[in-house]
Amino acid sequence: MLMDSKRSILTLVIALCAVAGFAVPCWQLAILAVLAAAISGRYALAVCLGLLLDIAYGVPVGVLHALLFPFTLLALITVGGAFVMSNSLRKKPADRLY
Amino acid sequence: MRTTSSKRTPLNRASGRMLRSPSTFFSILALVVLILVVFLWRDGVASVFWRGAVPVLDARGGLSSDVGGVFAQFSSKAELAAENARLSDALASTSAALLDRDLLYQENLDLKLRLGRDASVPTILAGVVMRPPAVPYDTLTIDAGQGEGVTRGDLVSAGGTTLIGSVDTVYAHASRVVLFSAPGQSYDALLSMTDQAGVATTIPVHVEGQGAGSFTAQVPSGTVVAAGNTILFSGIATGFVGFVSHVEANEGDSFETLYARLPVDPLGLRFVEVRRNAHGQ
Repeated sequence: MLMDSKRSILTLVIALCAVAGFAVPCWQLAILAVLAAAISGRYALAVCLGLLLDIAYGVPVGVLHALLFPFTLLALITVGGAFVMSNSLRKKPADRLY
Repeated sequence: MRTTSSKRTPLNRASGRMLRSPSTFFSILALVVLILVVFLWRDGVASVFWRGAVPVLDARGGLSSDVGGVFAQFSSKAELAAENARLSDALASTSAALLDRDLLYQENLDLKLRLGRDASVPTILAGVVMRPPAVPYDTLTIDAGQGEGVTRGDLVSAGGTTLIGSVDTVYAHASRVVLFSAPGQSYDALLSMTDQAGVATTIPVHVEGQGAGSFTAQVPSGTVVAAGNTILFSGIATGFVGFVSHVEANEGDSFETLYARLPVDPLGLRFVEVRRNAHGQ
């Protein structure tokens, strides 16, 4: 139960960070929220935040134009990296003494 | 004693079960569908998003002004009085210049009309709901869209003939404006200058955006150009695009590099005018 409340608080903090990035305004806070969500295991929240930011900011201008959805790509890459890292840590062989 | 490594730990088996559970599968499926919907119908989804976001951001702008007013009460009376006097003087001189400019502009339109050309441009007033640094790109989001008569390619000014960008994407009741200074943007313009004989003239230049309200252009070496020269769009309804802030000329180079800036600070814009059906004219 304590872990659940901590997870809820963390989710709320991440969501507030994303809203603050949009409202303050400071787009770097929004990126921080996406990264924090992905690293903390909230993969769906990270991808949804990335999609929302891409909808709000529109297609990038200039060199990044080819990316089309940079925040969503960032979220997917970070989610993928976090998932692989967490799985590799879980599969780390444990030595046992018989 | 011997040691061994286990590849199938309880934690490992638990994570495998989680991935195979129906709820996780449907969550991933829903996420994939959501991503596809946004990828394929971006403008439609963005239109819906901005229907709700524009009123919220407008309210945020009003709240910022009110909060700023509250905190201003904590400034010292002397500081406020000094700032008030300074702003009143600036306003008085600006009002006189503006009146002069309006009279000259109207005279310019009347003269063009007498010569058979109507240079007046219908405009739509729009509020800026998002601007840098809220946006990571050199773009503005305004609260006028298809419903207000905005079309893609319309030029946007900060007021009068001071052009700052063009409409890139149009939603139902919002639009995205790409500033001329955005990285990757380039366009042809005219540099207003005085030639070596002292005669006012214009030369064509190709301007490239550098971001944050700045752009660059190159002119042949030896061109008499100085800081303060203006950059204009050609056409019957001339637009003032920027002014030269610095000239870099290295000995032996065939070209001089001009560094120019938008005539207004895009970070402080609250209202803009959209020139209807004025596509680069």
